[in-house]
Amino acid sequence: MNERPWTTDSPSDASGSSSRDEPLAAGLAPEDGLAVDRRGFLKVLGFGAAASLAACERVPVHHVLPFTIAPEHVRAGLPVEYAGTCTACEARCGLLATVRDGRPIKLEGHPDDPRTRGGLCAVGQADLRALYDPDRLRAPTAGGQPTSWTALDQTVRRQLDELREQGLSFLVVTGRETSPTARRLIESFVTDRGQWIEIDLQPQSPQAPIEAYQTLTGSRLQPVVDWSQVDQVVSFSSDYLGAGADPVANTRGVADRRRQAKERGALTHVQIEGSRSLTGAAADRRLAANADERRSLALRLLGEVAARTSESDLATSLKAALSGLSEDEVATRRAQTLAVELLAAGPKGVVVCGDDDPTEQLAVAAINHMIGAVGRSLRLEEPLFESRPRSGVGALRAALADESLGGILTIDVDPVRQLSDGEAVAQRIAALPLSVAISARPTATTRACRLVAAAHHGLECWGDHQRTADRLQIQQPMIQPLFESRAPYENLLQWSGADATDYRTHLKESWEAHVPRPEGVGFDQFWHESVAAGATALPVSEGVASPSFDWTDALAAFRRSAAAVPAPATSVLELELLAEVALRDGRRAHVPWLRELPDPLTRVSWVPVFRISPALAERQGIEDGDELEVQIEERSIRLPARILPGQAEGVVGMPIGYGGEGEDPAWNAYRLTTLAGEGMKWTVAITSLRKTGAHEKLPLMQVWSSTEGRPIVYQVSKPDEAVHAPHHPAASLWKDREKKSPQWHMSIDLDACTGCGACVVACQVENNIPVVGEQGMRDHRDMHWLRIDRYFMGEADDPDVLFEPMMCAQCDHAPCETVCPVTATAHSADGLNQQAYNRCVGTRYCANNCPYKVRRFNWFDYRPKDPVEQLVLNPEVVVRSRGVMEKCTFCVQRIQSARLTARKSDQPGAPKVQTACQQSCPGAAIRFGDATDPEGDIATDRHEPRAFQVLAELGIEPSITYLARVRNRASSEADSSSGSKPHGG
Amino acid sequence: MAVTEVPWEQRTEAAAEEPLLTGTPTFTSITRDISAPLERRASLAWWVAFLVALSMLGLGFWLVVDTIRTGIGLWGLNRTVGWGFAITNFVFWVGIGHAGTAISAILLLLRQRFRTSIARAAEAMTIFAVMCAGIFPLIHMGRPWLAMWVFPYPNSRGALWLNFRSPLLWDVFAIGTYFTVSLLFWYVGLVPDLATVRDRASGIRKRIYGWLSLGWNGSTRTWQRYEKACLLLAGLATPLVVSVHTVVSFDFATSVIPGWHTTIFPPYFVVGALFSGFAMVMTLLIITRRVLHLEAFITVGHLQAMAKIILATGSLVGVAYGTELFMAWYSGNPYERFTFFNRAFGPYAWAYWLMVFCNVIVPQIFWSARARRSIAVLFTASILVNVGMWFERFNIVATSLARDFLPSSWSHYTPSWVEVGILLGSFGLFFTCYLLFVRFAPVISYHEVKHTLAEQQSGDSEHAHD
Repeated sequence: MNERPWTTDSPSDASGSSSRDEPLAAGLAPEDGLAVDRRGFLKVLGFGAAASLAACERVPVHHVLPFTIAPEHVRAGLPVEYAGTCTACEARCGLLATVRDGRPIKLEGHPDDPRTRGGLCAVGQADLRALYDPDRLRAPTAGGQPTSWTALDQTVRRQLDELREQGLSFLVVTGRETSPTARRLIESFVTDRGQWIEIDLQPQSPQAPIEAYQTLTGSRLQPVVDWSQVDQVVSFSSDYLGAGADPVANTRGVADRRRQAKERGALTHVQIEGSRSLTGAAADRRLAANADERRSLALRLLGEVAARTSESDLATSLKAALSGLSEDEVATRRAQTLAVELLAAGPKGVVVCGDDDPTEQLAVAAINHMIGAVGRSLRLEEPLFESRPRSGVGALRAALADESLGGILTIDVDPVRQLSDGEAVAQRIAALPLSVAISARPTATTRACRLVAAAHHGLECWGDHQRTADRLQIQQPMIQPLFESRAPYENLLQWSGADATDYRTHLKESWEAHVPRPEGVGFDQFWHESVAAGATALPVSEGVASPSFDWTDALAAFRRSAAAVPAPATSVLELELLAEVALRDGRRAHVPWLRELPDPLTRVSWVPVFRISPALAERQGIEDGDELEVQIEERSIRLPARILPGQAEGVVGMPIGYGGEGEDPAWNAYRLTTLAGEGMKWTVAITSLRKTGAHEKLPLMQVWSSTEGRPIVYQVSKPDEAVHAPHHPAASLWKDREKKSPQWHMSIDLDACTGCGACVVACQVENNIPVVGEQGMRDHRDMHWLRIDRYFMGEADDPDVLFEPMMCAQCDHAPCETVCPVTATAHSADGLNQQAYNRCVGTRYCANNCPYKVRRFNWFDYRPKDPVEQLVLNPEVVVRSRGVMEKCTFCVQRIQSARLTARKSDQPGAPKVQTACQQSCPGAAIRFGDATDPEGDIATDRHEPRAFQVLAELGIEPSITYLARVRNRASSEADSSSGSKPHGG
Repeated sequence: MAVTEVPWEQRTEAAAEEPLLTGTPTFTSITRDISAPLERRASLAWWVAFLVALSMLGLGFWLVVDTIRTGIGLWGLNRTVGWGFAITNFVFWVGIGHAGTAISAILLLLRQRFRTSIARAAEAMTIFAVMCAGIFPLIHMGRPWLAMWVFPYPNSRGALWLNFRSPLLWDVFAIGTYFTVSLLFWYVGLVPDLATVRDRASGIRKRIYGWLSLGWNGSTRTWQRYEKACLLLAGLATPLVVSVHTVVSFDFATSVIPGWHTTIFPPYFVVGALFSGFAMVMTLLIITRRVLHLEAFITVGHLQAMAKIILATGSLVGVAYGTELFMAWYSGNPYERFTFFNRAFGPYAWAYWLMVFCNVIVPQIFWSARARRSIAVLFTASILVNVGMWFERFNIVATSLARDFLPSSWSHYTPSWVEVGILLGSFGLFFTCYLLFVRFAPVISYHEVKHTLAEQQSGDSEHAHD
């Protein structure tokens, strides 16, 4: 597998023409040019027919028989990996796409991306399915009717000219744009009477801390945590491991740091939040607090830190400013504990904040300043692309209200759904003389706009993206465009009358003009190398000179807030609008893999729920599935309730990813948002909350949250603490088989697992695992081969959360193997529990006898029927038919391929194999290898004191070892709940 | 009821001495009375019953076809509970069959005279019950069209052979053997009686019965060989009474699932099977004797004898339940303890206590001789026992699976209407077959009853001499 030449140029580059000239699938031509044998001829004939059919829509067809001169490294039926950039969100992780016969079949993180090092989140994995989405826009439309690109281009150009003649302006609305080339293009496009507005419509926006530093230093600075330097982190509802800004990179940074810590104390994490998040689940300690409590705690913490630091003018004035804080014994004690810990860590401590409250952000910035974190655990960087004034939601509102507005052009954003007064926005857009939506999918905005330019999916376009100052990433097409669509920014080239209307040419020209390249390297070589590597390094200018802080405004804000801190009240109800790990802001909400991925915490899939605290549920007599009506002023939303221990008592959580096109618009949480400056306010006060009396059975992946006191999952309070799991009986009736190398085993470090679900989706993509739909999930017929069990332990109100990925343990004494009457499941020599799908008659006896319940049955025919959907299937893995049992095989197709490669090249020993789940894991929690290798990862992990196996006492000899979760926690601390033994929650 | 002629005060002597045939039967009247249902037109009651049974069978058949066309997803099963109604019904029907074999084989070997009047119907019930049972393992498969793969026949699939470690495969052999032996036993027993029917019939019926009676000529040699064959088959069938349900219990006992992995299962299943089987024979015979006017042959004495067996086996089943609970507690195994606690107090508690009531409490009424002689009590109890025994299997199959080792996977099983329909369909099949049987074959063995009559008469004359 590691022999695969992933560092190649794209197929389209080698053939020297624009990306769209390539046919659907890469070549089948024989290697020796014209020496065609009968078999080869038939192949080409068959392919020719298929290619002409596949290319039916695209006229003229340039190449019917492709690759007479095949692009380098492309072999029919063999996968090739191409570097690129994930475009599912603004994190822009490096990507490695496995392309087979011209179609990408798997997306993985790029191991050379210094931020993610191979990890890719669930959304990134699932973005592949968004490419093969049958509901994508297949052609441009005008007034709802399909039109030609020529006609559309003419209309837009004419109308733009008319606008300019009439002295009207137009808007270009985009999301947070990370492409330097695209930014330059938009800038030049809007020069004549245009305005460009970037809107960021997600919670945990990076803008809030930037605003705080703007207040403090006068310059826009972005705090970036260097996890390798952190010993103690206090997070005010920052969801940096879950649905925050950069979860993959943060997860890796945190996991690596925690792994380094062999003794207690390194990277202790305290989370203060209202709604339970993945980051809160990973915390060593967690405090539940609503928005007011968080702000007051931040201020108190600042006061305590100031009181404990050496006397300085700042400390004195801070103390004075915060003297107005009301007496609150509990909050003060909490703040004192945190202050002591942070000051003990000193510059290795850091405070992060994900709230949109400006005072809280200021307080956090001040704490970091006081403990000396800046420059050590925290770097202040100039944010990329922050040059434009007047951008954001507020600016968009203002611009839309402007009488002189004549046109709007949206690029891959959906303001109609994502603004609270969407209907008014839609009406306004419809009334404009020019309204164009550039989108890959139908959205509320495409419905409002008269003209719709069908856009490529990110995997069909060229592009570049920048997330850090020192690296510029390439986005290259992995497939011939499936539909009559166009790269989003190619439209701007067309409509501005540029010379080069092909975006790839434009991108190359832009790079040639703007991207610095090493001395003595020609542009073509530089370009090829950059495309092959997926990125190029940029020279970094000297770091930001340490800014000078001006505390006047901040002190005034602290003084105001300190005086306004309300007394603690339990009756306050607030609604927290939150991004869920799978759907985030809803941009990929149409991808069935993400809909079916249960939320790691609520374990609900497909539908939105109100997350409520057990205390609130008890007070109001609410049970899981009871419909609640939450009223915010005059607007109200009805959703079923899900009780989530760990919610702050008065905080109701609601996901924002639902209610998009084709869904119940009542699910759209954006209707409840309000404006706060240029951003949006994600916490709103609830006017009233009541039970409607309706009840439904939720599509729950996991109903039971307690371990029932069973020894199945562990946490320890320091890394070298041993787990005492029950051992399996020494006596066995079974004759042991000879265990020759390799014997495949897996180890999973629960301390590095955040439960994010990337592995679940990776497994689903790799193994062609079907989607069963909402009803299927309600019926408990999920097909996931790999699931992440979530258990609560400890106090009922705010328990610890333990995640435990669970898949087939490939037991050496597998109970499933003995019971199959037709030997459809059997053990392989390398220790795998094999499943022969075509032998299975479907008695389900094996699934009954599986103690882990990881076997999955095809209750119906789940195979994809739509030809576009079918393109996503991995040809290496059988697509199972109805009535057949299936399960995890440790990615046997990858093992087999690695084995063959190793054999061909006479490599001794066990081949190096990465399973799909292991590859995707952002925290690198999963390790896989040969258990007979005494030096290997598996042997190392199995001898860890934290190692345990689940249900080994049954004598089934599972091949998965788990390492217990570590909670850095001293027993004397106020909010700790200690103990390694699981107990009910 | 006309048949209960023995006064209550004389019950002690009566129970011991009660004649197995009442009225004043003669050899001629026996032949006439037993043949009567075959030779007269079917009554309205028969037609109504037959049409109801046939409709249920049709419903079941249609639902089975639908399941095979659409998928097992039509049932209420899920990733946690892989077996539900189908396997419950399978074990239930196999259990029903046991009484037939026990009556005809074991009681024959033990020379229990009361078996003569009820053996034929009981054997027929066995055949039909095993037919019903056999359907379920077949249709519960995800791909029933490949069901032949569970049979060891020569094929070209190379190394893919059967898994002889799988209890499901043992089931195939156990049930296959059982059905074959039962069918042979029943048919061989029928031959002389079919000849009797043949001799009384004419036309097409004579030809068919002639063909079916395999040229029976009633010679002493034929009779002698017949008796020997019956004895041999009885000998063969006897171990099957124990083995079949033992093997069925292995489906559960050899697994790792708490609630299934139990060494008590083989005897527990066999006793339970006899218990439910006798209850089913009782239900059938109470209806049969009434509808076919055979009260003179199937007397309260017969029913009373069966009631005693039901009392004994029911109490044994109760002991088994208690032992299970004790062992779960005594083992100290948390999974085991939880499973039994969950059965009694979890979401399926109603099914557990229904089972305990029907199987342990209800049969205790048969300590009372008055109850043993009351047709209404006997009938109600026999129905309740079978309800209870069905729920016993449901408890074992579904509750154990729904909550096993990892609480994260716990689920609940609720049958879909398709499964309920298929269960009805199996009853439809059973009763359709049984109703056809009572129309076309003698429900009671002519020659065995005549034998009993002869013994009774000689016994009477001996009494007279005393």
